[in-house]
Amino acid sequence: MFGFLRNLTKTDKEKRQEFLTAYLDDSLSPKDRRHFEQWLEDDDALRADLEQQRAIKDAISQLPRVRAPRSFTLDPSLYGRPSAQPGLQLYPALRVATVLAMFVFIALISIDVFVSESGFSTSITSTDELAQVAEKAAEEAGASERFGAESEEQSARSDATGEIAAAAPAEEVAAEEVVELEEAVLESESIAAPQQPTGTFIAQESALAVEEPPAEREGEAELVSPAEAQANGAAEAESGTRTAELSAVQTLVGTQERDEQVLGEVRKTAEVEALDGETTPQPVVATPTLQEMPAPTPLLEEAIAAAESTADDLHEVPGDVQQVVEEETLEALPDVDEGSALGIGSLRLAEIFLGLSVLFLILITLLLRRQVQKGP
Amino acid sequence: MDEQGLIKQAKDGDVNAYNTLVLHYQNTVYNVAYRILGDPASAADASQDAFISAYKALGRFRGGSFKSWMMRIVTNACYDELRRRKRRRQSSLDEITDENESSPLLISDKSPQPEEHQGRTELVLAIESCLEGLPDEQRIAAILCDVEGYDYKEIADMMSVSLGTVKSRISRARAKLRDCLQTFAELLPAQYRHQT
Repeated sequence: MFGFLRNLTKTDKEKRQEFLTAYLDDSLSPKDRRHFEQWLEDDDALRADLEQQRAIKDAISQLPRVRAPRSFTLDPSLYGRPSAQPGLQLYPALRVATVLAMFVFIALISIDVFVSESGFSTSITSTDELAQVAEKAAEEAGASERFGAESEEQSARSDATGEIAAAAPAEEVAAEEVVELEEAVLESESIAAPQQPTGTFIAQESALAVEEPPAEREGEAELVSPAEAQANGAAEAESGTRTAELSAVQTLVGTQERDEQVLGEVRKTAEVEALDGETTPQPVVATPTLQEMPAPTPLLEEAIAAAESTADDLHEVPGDVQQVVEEETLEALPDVDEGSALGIGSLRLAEIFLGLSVLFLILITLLLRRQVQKGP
Repeated sequence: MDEQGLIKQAKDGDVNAYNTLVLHYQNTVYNVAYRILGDPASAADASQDAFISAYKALGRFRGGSFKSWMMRIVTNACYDELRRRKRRRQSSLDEITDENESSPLLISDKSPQPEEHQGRTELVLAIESCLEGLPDEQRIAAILCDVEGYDYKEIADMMSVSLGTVKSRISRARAKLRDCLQTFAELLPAQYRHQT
């Protein structure tokens, strides 16, 4: 195997002697033989060496043959049937099996590499795609914000009528709008969910987008370089499922907070309207807290009760929404994660098993080969 | 002689069939052992061991040349004997030379004239002495190539080494033999003397 290394360490004299010996024993290749014969024609000393070596070879070959001093035959009564030695008989088959196992192992590794690379390319989206998704989420979030603002405005407008009876329909409108807001959030979640394992990133982006203005979101999305996006995707791929759920919950919490804010506004408006019956009308912005207010009148108590029932309704809706989101998230995530995890896991297991088998086969084959070559 | 048939019968436990093979190859086997070990008694022991081992391991024989297979076995038996000798530290050139004087080699020498006989004996002794002075691997390679006439590939199989190793061993063996024979210059014909 390492004959070329030995050739590197040979001196010219040794190489010359080896050529000469091989020529004498007729073991040179036709090309080397022609080369050496050309060399012989030009070199008298080499010719003399050749003749001397030939004489020595002839002398050795003419050493008298010796006869065996006795017979080496075996006594039939002492020796039975020779053992079959099945282990060594299996050597050729074992050699073939080892080669086949190595081929399968290499093929499996290649498949793994191919699958990993293709999976990587689909899971890691480009920066443009990431930016587009972030923009879309930001737009959805912006729309939600606008819905919220509009609902507040509508509430304010309804408050401006000064009629307590109108408070309930205004609250219903606000509740409906909050539900719409939740649906918008859900949509933004549904955009983020299929993008696993980068779903974490997108879910977080969506959650942030609900809280931040669209302009800021766009700016952030653009700041993500391809390398960072890939690093984020790779690093968060493992904890993708859990973080995505957390992000969804965070989104819902943010939504609930906003709902409560809307509810607070509605409640304040109701209180102010109730107070309007006894006091002079005041701007909504300057509404005092409940603690600072005078003792509630029956009218105010009614308004508060109505607002609280609306709040309960509003709290129930996010609960349902949360459940739906969780179910959808859990349904969406296993499609990507379980499938790939099971596939890659079984592939890795097969690789390990096959690798160990190949090592074992190689070891056994080498041991048998040594015994076969060595002979008895 | 139907060699393959005898081998098959021997594999089936027919010792007599195997003995036919033994009788056919015993001189060749003994000759190689004698050239490697340089000692008739050790050569006989190594030959006997080789035939016994070959019979016991006949199940491993996978076809091909039975003679080459036997050569490999007897070579291994000689290696074992040489290792035992090294452990005992009993090997010395003087002992080998003494044994050579009473060896079957001289008995089987058929030189017709006493003077020629003397000259050939001296040359043979000189070559044998030089062969004995070679390292074991080089000696075995040289004997299998020059005495037994095997080609490099067969020798590589018998010695379980690469073709390049065989070439190298034979080349070095010949170079050392050439140098060694210069010490017997007065005994040798002109063609064996080193030309400087």
